[in-house]
Amino acid sequence: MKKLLNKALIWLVMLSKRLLKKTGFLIILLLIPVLALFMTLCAQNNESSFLRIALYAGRDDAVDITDELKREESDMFSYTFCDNAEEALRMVDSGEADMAWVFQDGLSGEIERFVKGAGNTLVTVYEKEETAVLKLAREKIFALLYPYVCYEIYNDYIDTELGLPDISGQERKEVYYLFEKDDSLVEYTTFGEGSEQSEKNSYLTSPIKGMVSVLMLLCGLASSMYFIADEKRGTFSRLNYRKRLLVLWTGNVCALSFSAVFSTLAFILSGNYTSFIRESGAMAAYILICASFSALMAALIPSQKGFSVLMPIALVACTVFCPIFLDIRAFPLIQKLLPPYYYLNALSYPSQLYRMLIYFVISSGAAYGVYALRHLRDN
Amino acid sequence: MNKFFRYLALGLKRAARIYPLVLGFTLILSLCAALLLTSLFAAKAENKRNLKVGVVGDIGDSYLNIGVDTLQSFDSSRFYLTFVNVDDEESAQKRLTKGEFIGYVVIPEGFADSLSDEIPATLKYVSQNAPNSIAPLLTEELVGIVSQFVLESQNGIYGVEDIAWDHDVEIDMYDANMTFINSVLARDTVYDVEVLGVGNGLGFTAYYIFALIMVLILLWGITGCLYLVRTDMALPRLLCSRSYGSFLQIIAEYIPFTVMTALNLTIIVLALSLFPSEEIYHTLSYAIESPAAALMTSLKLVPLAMLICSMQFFLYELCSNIISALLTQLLSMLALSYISGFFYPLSALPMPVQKLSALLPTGIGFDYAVRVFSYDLSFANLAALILYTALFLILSTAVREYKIRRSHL
Repeated sequence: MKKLLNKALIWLVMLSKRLLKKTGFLIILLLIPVLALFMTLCAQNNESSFLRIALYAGRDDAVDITDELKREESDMFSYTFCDNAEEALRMVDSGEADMAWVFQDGLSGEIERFVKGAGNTLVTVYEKEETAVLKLAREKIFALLYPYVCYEIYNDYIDTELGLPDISGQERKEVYYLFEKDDSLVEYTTFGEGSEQSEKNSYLTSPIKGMVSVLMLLCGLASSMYFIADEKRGTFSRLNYRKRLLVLWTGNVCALSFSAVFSTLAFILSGNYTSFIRESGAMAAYILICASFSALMAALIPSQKGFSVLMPIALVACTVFCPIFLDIRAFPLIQKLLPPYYYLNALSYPSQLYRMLIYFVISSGAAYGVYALRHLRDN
Repeated sequence: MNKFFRYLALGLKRAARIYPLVLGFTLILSLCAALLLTSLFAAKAENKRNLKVGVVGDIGDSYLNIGVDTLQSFDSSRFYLTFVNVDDEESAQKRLTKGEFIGYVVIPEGFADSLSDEIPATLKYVSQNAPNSIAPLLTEELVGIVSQFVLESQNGIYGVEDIAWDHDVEIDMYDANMTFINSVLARDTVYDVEVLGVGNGLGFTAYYIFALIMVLILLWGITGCLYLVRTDMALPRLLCSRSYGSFLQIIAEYIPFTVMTALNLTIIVLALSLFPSEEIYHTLSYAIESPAAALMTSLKLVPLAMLICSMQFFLYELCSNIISALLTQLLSMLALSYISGFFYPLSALPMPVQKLSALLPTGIGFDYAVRVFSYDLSFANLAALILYTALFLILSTAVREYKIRRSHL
């Protein structure tokens, strides 16, 4: 037993040394935390947002929407306050803003006329094209004006429907604001583990875990490629096919373990690290499934040139079908083939870890089967 | 010169042998890209545009119920939000986990009655833990907006009710409710919309089509590792000894590589012309309105292929084995794509990154591609493109020369 353990340790050390001597592999390892740090710095210094709005608030002492917007913290919208309508329009035209909201001057009077059905529109919106996102952004305009519009509707209802035009402005205000609540009607929360961490993240740093998981998969595939190159050179010719598969798998685990260390560092640097147990569990399972997936790919495509075609396809497939930048709930068959899909879901829903174990068993079995078939065919 | 053409012909033959594999790779990647575009932009059916939000609990027989029902039935926002009643929170969580819901709202018992309390109950909105996706961000904004409508309307409705009671006047509460609700439903009369047209910039759809084209070009270049990576310098040394200098070698190897990329671009542009989708045609219009126009556009894109291929060729020259070459290409592709705004729009990145992107080969290439399709070619942009291409070729020559000399030692 002791002899076996010693032998296993020697193999582990030798496989690790072999990897750490490869410059390309070291560059990937170093790139992982560098990428995370870069994205974190981008998010921290970022004054941009998903939608940029140029805004001319109009001149009116009674209606001031700028204060509320300045206090707002939103990843979706950022506002540039312009001195006049022409500047707002210019910003849209030049691409500095996605849309411009130009409010009428004398807005309070316009709102009164609007409620009575006699006025013009209150805002002119300029945009380059109609998209669903910009349409939704327009909902915000009415939300800004609605407190004033609602109060005017209330006044108008008292005057016309209730027939009480003599009620004083003081009384109207007291009654109207009697039920005013400072707090929001809605409490926001996210479902799934790590949700408390995700609430602190900006959308720029949120893909870090996804991108790092793809880089880890690249490490696993690169390790398989090194194995294929070594196998071709005859490095493992003295081993039978079962032991060679074990060497392949162990080499992948070594490569992925190193990348796991750097990935964890990346998560800590970017503030994406949640808890030790959750992260370690998901990471350990991810190492196993990536190692098996990479071994299966090496068994199916035993050539460097074939791998050079496979790797970009795997990269693109992971970026498109795994919830990294977009959460596309389509093509489940393709999603279920990709290791990052399980890892990213397991982070949010740890109960999904069992799926990773099933994936590991199936892919390891498939790798063994394909490798055995190849050996039988070659002999 | 004869020697140069002979070596070039050999390179072209070699490229032709590998091209079927390259083409297959291109088609697979393009299929992935098409699937992505289909998921993002081609959801024409009404129910596909809807973001489903679950509703747990009952808001009772209050004006809120009328409001929500009316909102669902008549309002244009039904194209974006659909409320689905669910029996309990556990079912809502399951459907959220599966991805059927973008979020769900929990309405506590007695919510409607509590609205008039000093500290009313709050609705709980639970979204997916997927902040990388824009949809939950959008939905959160919408939920916040709806919350504002409800709170203000409450002020108004309770206000007129109180005034009526205080002054002993009869009031039709349903009529009062509908007055405020109708104002919310008619909210698009508050603004006029002027669509300026794309003009000097890019719309959202167009931006991502061009970003996708750039990513595809970067990915195609990875197939260069099948034949461009040199593990030893025996052949270049031999060629040098026969007066095929480093520069000639580089050019003779670079041209077939560029020709393959240009061919791929031509195939893709032609395919767009022959099988256009409404979104793509609306964006690219005249450039692909006919096969002849598409071919002309492809010719204009040749400088772009030259730029990206020269950059990738230089990276291949730096590497001495296929694995390093592959990893270098993939990592540089990832890094350049992120910085140049091919994942997130450039405008969403910090200003220093935007300025850096404008100086990078990928940023310049992106700008050039946009100009080709919008018939707005610029001399400065083309000059930058040519300069970068020349720079990469000179650097490749220098690296090749260094490697040849070192191999002599």
